Amino acid sequence: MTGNITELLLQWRCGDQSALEQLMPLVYEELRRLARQCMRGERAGHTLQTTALVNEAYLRLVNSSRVQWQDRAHFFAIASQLMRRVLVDEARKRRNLKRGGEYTRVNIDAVEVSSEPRDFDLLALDQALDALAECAPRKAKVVELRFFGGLSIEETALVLGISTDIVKREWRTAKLWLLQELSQSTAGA
Amino acid sequence: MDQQRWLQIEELLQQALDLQPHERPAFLKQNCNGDASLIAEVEALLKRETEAHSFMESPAIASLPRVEPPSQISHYRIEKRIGSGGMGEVFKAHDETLRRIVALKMLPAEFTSDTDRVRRFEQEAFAASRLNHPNIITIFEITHDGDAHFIAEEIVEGKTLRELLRDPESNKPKPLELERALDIAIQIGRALKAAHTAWIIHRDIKPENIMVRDDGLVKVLDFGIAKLDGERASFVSSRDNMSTAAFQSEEPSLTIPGAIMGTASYMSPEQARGEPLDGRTDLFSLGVVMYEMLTGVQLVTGATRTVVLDRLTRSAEIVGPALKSGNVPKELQRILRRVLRSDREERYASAGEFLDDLIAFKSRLERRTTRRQLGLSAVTLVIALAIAGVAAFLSVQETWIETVLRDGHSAAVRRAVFSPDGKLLVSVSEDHQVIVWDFKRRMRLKTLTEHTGPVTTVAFSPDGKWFFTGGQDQAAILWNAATLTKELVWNDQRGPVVTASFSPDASLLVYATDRVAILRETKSWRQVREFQSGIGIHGNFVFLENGRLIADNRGNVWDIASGEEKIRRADWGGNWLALAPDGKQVVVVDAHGVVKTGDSLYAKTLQTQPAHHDHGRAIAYSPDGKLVASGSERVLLWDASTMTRIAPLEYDSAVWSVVFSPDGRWLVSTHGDGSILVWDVVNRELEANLRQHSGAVRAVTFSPDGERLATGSDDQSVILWDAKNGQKQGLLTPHQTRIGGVAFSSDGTWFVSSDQAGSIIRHDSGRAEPRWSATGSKDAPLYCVSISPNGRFIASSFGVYSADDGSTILFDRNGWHGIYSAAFTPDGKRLVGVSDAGYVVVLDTETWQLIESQQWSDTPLVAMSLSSDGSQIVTGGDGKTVRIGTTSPLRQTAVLGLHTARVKAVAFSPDGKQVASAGDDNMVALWDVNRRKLLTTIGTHTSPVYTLAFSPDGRQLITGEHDRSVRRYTRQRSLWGFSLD
Repeated sequence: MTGNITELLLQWRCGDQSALEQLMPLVYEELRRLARQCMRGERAGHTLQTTALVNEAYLRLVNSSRVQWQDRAHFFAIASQLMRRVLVDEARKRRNLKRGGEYTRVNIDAVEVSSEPRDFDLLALDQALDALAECAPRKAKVVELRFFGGLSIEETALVLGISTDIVKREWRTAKLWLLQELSQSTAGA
Repeated sequence: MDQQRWLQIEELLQQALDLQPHERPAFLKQNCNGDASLIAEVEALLKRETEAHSFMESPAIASLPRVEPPSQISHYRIEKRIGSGGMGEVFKAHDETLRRIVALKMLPAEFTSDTDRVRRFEQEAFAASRLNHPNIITIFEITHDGDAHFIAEEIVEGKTLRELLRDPESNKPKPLELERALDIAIQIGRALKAAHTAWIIHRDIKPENIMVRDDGLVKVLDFGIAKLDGERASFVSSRDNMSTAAFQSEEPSLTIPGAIMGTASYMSPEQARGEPLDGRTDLFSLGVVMYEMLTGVQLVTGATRTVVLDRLTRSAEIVGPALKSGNVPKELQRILRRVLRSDREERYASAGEFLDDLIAFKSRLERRTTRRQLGLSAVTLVIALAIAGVAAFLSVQETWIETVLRDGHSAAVRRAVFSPDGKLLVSVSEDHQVIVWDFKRRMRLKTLTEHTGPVTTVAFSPDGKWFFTGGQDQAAILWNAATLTKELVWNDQRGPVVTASFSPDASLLVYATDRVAILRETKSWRQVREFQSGIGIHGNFVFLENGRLIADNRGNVWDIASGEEKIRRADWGGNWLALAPDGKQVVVVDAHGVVKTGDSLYAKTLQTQPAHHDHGRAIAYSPDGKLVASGSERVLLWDASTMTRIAPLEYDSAVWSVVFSPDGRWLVSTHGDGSILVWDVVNRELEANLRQHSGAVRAVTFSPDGERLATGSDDQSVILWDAKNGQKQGLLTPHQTRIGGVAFSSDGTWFVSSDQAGSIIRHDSGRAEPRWSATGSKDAPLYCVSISPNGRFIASSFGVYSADDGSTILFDRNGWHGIYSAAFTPDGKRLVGVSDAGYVVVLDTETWQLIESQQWSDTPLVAMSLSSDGSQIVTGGDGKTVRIGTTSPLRQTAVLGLHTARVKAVAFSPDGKQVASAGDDNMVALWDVNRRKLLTTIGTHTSPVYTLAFSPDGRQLITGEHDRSVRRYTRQRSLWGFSLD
């Protein structure tokens, strides 16, 4: 497993696009597993840090002795992107559930959802982020790494190959822009 | 929005953000050239600044809702979620009816909607729940509450093997130590054997499904439950997939890679191909797990089903390079290779055979280790535990070397035969030894060590004069049965001797290799004839038609006089063959465990019965021809006339041979672990194991000089052992029921034993028969005996008796009632006992009046020991507590320690500095008396420990255990690697 992922990562860096296609589902699956654990409260004692999740996925999946820091950066970029998918998929599923969708669970009556998600809507944010990516792809990337991947400013800078100052600037305006976009879409809905 | 506009806004926004809020309007006015909409847009964004401070600052995952477990299901109060297991979510819960903590495993919703699947699941789980084995997790209940289906099972505190295979610091895979890996593999093997015998296959053996408790006990999880997954089980890890179960049905394209974590990696080739499975699939998976334990390398990686198949079809065995390069002993490599064969027919036929090999290897390894370290030759296990005690500053290390006291063979016993008069039993073993037993006394008469390799066959001549042994050392040896000495040796048959038999009139001997059979006449021992034989590596001959014809297990029949092949009965084709005493029928057991009967010569096969799920290895008729016994993974008794099964005789090691005693009363079976068992044919119970106790060991005591040991057991016998070499010196069976206690007199010339029907028996050395036998109490069990220092009195559970004749001195008076354990003070002035009501009782031995009685516990106290000066007492009991106190005045001074289950035994070390305690938690603990702390635990025990005794010099500790073993632990002290003893 570890060898496999590492291999794919190396192949991808050498320009093999099919390696990426093989890599994505593997990482997606791992992240989804970790995210589910989080939801189930199985990670008691851990703070809910996405960065911990992505790091854990990295440790589990990649043989770090064989890769260079660039590969690690690539991995985090992919992982953040996939984490976004995991979480958005999860939110979508939850929305379907509220609408009486197919998803049922064991003993659903006894299951209580302890805390409603915070006020903003991940699905709307996802769409807003897509819109942002059209005009300002780097901003969207920063948001993906910071918010979904849980990376710090410094890690984000490393992954994107830019200075931390730029990351900070991109981050602060991206947030404003997204908030504005979200409020408009809510108003319009 | 066009790019130009976007950049413009961005630029303004960034600059405005760098300014103080009150400066911004002016700045915008100045830089926007009157573009009102531009100003509006930037201002709208700036207005969000406060809001933006906290926006997206905690990662997205925090926005996920937390799903809380239900608080009550049925009569279980849920305490917390502890993980997601093979079936689904797992909770720690409190069973409010039985007041115990359990693990509740919930069946995921996606399964419960399919009633057929639920039914199958419940059937499987129910079958698994009947598996009562220490290495298999105990299932308490399988039920449902509304739609919620769940299993309540034993909660195991420990780590999964997966966790043990990972270095906690670097998080990288790592191998286990050889001994540890072997120990774990053997325990998994035991679990598999028990399950396979009950026709349950695990199907998903992998490190995630193996729990290792902190005390070393292994528990295999999720037996039979893997099937729940149906086809998916073959490529999806049950343990991993359930936690993501809800997702998988929706995105099938993602399930296969998702299934990768340690799933297909442990699959057998036949499982990867989706073929019907038998127990051998689990053996393969265990092999893969062992490989990983030994090398730290996962054998098959990248594991999708396709990868596994590809890997497996490329070669017949899939052992990887890590095995050779690592430190895995050759012998173990061989075992591993055999279990990792692609073709299951080439693997071990059963978990039992595999286990026997593994255990034999382990004991050889331990013997080698011990010889090297200590120059001892017993089956030993080094338990190195540093005692941070008395001399920690000197780095004195204390190590307890384990020896299991076992007489007789140390490897598989391949055959055993009776002398025609039934007095002798001769057994031959892979340990190269031939042992002649006095069958009536169940004692070893002589050990013959002429063979230089595994001895595989033995035959007794019907006239009682000779017996013959042959083995893989290619030696054929004839022994004089009267003198038990070697008479003749032949080694002209070019090959290992597979089988031998005498003709019914004792005039002919036939023995054979896998190809050639040699006939000799027994007057001059001249060779009469040699003929080709194809019996293979298993098989035997029988003489037909009063010795005129000879037949083998493959259905070949020769005329002895002419040497011509007369008949070929291809339908017999089996491993072993037995002829009915009337000579009219034969019975055969074949490689698939099928039992067939047929006419001995010409007619068709009469009956074919699937009987065993392992290689058939033994078959025999009773002397009266009414019974047949067959042997494989267990012994089956059959009614010979109808060939209907009467009873299974269960034992936990593979059967190698079965033989009835000439009087038909006993059936002897020989086993892969070196045991020779004697079964009572009439009531079908295990009567004895010639090498050790055949029931739980309840009592143990040293002779005062430390040279001998007496042990008493549920098998109704008392065994006297040579404490040095571990050989049996005597077996005493005057008791009619389970033994309660044993004690030696202070001069060592006699000892007493008590039993659970209330009898006390005195045995004097040099006398075969008991000196006296007395009824100490009517029907009340006598759990203990103790002899006064002057040798005049014997104390037991309800009274005190005269040592001269067993007459009663005191009975059920003065508080002496329900005493579980008793001892006289060394000065002989007091008798101290602990009772089922939790009292410590002290009597005066002059008057037998009660001096003192104190309740130390509200639960029974079952064990006590006095320090050698008599000043201190230690007790243990159902309250799990080890208490210590003074005897005069009687006062409890401290709780020395706690067990996690009932304490069954306590003992002071002779120097009074330490106390050993043991009990139902399978643990032997050693405590420092003065500092009141645990020094170490001794040995790894897989069943409750019932009794303990220190040797007089304090260097040895003996335990008697539920698993029928008597174990000796020898203390070794060393400083900087040098032995101090």
